[in-house]
Amino acid sequence: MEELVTKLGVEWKLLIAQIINFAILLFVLKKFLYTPLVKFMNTRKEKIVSGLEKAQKAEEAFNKMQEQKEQELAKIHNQAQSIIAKAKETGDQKQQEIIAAAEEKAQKIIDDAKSQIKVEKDVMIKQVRSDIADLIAEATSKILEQEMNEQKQKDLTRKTLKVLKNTV
Amino acid sequence: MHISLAAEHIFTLFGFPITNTLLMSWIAIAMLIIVSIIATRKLQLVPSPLQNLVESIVETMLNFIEKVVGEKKQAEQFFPLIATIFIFILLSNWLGVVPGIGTIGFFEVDNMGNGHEMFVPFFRSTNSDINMTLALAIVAVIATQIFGITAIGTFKYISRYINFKNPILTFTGILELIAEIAKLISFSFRLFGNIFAGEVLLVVIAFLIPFIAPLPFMVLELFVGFVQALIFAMLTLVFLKIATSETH
Repeated sequence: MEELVTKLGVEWKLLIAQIINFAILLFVLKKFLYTPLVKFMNTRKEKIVSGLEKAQKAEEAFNKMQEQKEQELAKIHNQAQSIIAKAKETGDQKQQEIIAAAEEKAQKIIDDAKSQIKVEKDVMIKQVRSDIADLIAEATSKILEQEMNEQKQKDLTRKTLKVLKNTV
Repeated sequence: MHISLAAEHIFTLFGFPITNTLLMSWIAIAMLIIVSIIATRKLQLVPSPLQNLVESIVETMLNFIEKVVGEKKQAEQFFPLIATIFIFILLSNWLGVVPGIGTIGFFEVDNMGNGHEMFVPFFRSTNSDINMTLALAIVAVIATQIFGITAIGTFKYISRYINFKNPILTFTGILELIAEIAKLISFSFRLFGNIFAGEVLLVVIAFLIPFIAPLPFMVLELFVGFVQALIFAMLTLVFLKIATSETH
């Protein structure tokens, strides 16, 4: 046994030195490599997971917004359409009203003119009638100056006037 | 050609012997510490290439351990020890395969007393020294006991080994104790044997055919180095899991 140990080169000093070496390595690696790195990798993992979640949420929100926007747009479009239709309707109505009013006014003017004309015509006819009566009387008197007395003259005038009245 | 089972002494520092394997382990440890400090000095959300590499290694190991243990919290508890064992053994083994690393050295008159000159390399694969592998085995076995005690309680844990409730339990307790010692031996000799054999193989092949022929063996040694690191770490992990389980 003793010989085996020396042949193999087992030396207590070296053995302990190597144990200490390994312990130092273990300690240093644990302190500078494993602990910080594993911690760091875990934080990164969490960060990535939360980042992915956030991205998904953002996408969802974006989609929702897009949808809302589209709905709003459609709504606005409808409203605009209805406003235009309403405006058209009011315009048409106004037009009708204006036309009606204008027609009415024109009618009134025409009527006024007609009545005026009629009045004037009446006046003129009256005038003409009296003028004609006078003329006839004069002419008749001139023609029948001698053969007719005053009484006869008057009768004739009246007759003539009656005839005229009937004719005119 | 001279092959020594024990690591060669390079010099003595304050009465403390410094061997070429010890130097090599210092190099591996220094490399690991420097890389890990540089990689984690400025941790960025968008990782730099080095940070990315270190992260992927750490994550792969952590996931692997979690798959074996089946519990995230316990995996994180075991992770530093298992990962350190794995990385350290892997890097040490691979550093030992670096071409030409065993050719840097000096000649020394050997202690056989015949005046023969002997080549002593400055660097030798760390795990081709029984001291290193035994140290790792001791760390692994002691860590197993510590994790077991903290997980299921001192009294319960000790009752696994020393139990007088009935003769069967007493006997299995003794067997368990022997098994723990057997773990030490199997851990240390498996790693030592594989790596030492690899070293010897490379030396012999390089001696016989110096060009091209050693290449496939180097690839083989890289693979062996990886497998041994994986075995050591995996076995430690399994022993840890067994030690911390209530029912046994």
